[in-house]
Amino acid sequence: METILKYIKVAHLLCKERLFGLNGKELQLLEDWRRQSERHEKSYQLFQHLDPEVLAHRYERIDADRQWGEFRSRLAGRRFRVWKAVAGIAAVVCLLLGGSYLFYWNQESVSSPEVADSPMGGIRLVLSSGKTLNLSDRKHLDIRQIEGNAVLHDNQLEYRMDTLTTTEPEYNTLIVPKGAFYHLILADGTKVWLNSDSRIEYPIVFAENRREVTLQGEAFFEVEKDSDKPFMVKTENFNVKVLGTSFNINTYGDDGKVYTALQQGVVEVEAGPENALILAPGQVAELDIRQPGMRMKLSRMSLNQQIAWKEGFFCFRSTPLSDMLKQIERYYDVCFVDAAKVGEEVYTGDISRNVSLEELLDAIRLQTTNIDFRMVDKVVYIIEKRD
Amino acid sequence: MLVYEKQIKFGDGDVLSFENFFRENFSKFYAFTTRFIGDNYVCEDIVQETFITIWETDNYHYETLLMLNAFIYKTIRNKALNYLKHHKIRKQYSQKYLQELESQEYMYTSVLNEESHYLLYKAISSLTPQCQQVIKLHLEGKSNKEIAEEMKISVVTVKSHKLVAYKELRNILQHSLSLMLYVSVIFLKK
Repeated sequence: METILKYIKVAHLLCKERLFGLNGKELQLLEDWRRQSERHEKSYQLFQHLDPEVLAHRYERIDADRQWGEFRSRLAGRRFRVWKAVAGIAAVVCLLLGGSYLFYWNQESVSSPEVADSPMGGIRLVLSSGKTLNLSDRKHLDIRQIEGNAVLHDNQLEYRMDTLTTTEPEYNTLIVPKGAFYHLILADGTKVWLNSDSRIEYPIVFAENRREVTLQGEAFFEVEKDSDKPFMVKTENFNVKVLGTSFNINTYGDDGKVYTALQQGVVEVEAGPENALILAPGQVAELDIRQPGMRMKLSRMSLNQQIAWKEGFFCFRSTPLSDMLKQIERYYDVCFVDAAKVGEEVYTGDISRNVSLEELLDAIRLQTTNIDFRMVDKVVYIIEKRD
Repeated sequence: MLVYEKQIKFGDGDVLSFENFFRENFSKFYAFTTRFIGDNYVCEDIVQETFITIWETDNYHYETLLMLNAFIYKTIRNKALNYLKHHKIRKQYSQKYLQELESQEYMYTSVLNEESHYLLYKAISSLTPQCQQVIKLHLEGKSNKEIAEEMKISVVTVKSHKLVAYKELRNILQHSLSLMLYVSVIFLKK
């Protein structure tokens, strides 16, 4: 980027020279630059003999009105394409980092209840008895263990009040491994989207006066409204109190911070006595967990960035490559070796989570200046790029 | 409802209307793309998608307008190379030509040429037809007297047109003139 900037600035210098002439210092700069390479000198000569008529022809081919119209219709088309991608119907769309095909979706858009396919299995449900069921292994799953309490769909577990046979405060724990993604509907109708490498503990039936669940990892909640029973999500570092609302909690701590992002309603995020924040829709709270006792504060991170995973995207906004790799590790269930070789470079772009790991690594490879990847089984070695 | 009004806010405090930026710069970036790819529709598509990326970018992501321009050039170039890589077109290009297209130097030279040519075009086309004529003849190396003869006006009128034109051009280039300081810093680093 720095080098491109330099060339843009030289371009401005050239233009100034031809129109007005330069002062001594500028002239010296330009002459030094011309001597740096043959290409430089060639570009300089080309510019000196440029015919403005030819330029007019070059730049007037484009109808700005038509292009702006096209741009608007592309933006408007985004929502539909997002929905398709999330529902898993759309063919793989190859998205590139930085220069990516970005999908636009409106903040108000209703999210599709379908859940993307889990790339790999191993979703486990721990019952209050301590018995563990592998929900991904439908063939060997003894469905009677949860019968009466919950209904198992593809990639979704649904607890239903009307069929519940238990009245005891029994707890279940749902564990989503790396490389998977799951959807849970709690007994009160609250919907939970669980991201990879996450676990949630919840009662099969909620208590009379409160609804409490415990989360590790990342999840998006759409809480059923019930003002008599406030809903609370507990995490290691903070708790989120809600009435009826939808929000995302991310406790991965990839960049040393944990986040709560509110889509609708009101939530209170509390990390300790006198360390709480009430969020308005669209706001994101962050807590730095690298040092104890840090204050909760509003984040520069956007809501869309926080909930992109649920919409079927990786969303990077000036994200350091090292943090990106952590997200990729969780989603594709791979491990990067020698991640220390990754520099300070940051990237911006959206990528569909429907792309294969190879495509994704290709996209990153194209963008980075100095690293390359070599994959052996589930291990990805980071090596220096050979030119 | 989608809202098509958006401002691009820069870290240095600059604010720009997205639509204006799009309309002002689309043809420049399109022309840049044609340096890599011959198919007009593919070029349009690449520039369109790049602007979508910019639309989605959070505020204050770019420190300055120049950095935004640099980012767009880089993005377009990567998209174009990727397109060449993933399509059969690659086979129609000679290996040597492809190597040239993929080189860093080719990108830098392309940025330099496009940016300088477009700036010159914008500067001249913003003038009145009379002033434009004077400046074009001046750029061809003609003297005031020769210009006066060709345009059938007096030398005094030529001079006054030039004065107006330069004032206008200075206005347009003002943004870039203030950058000169940084250029020196960058050259020193090298």
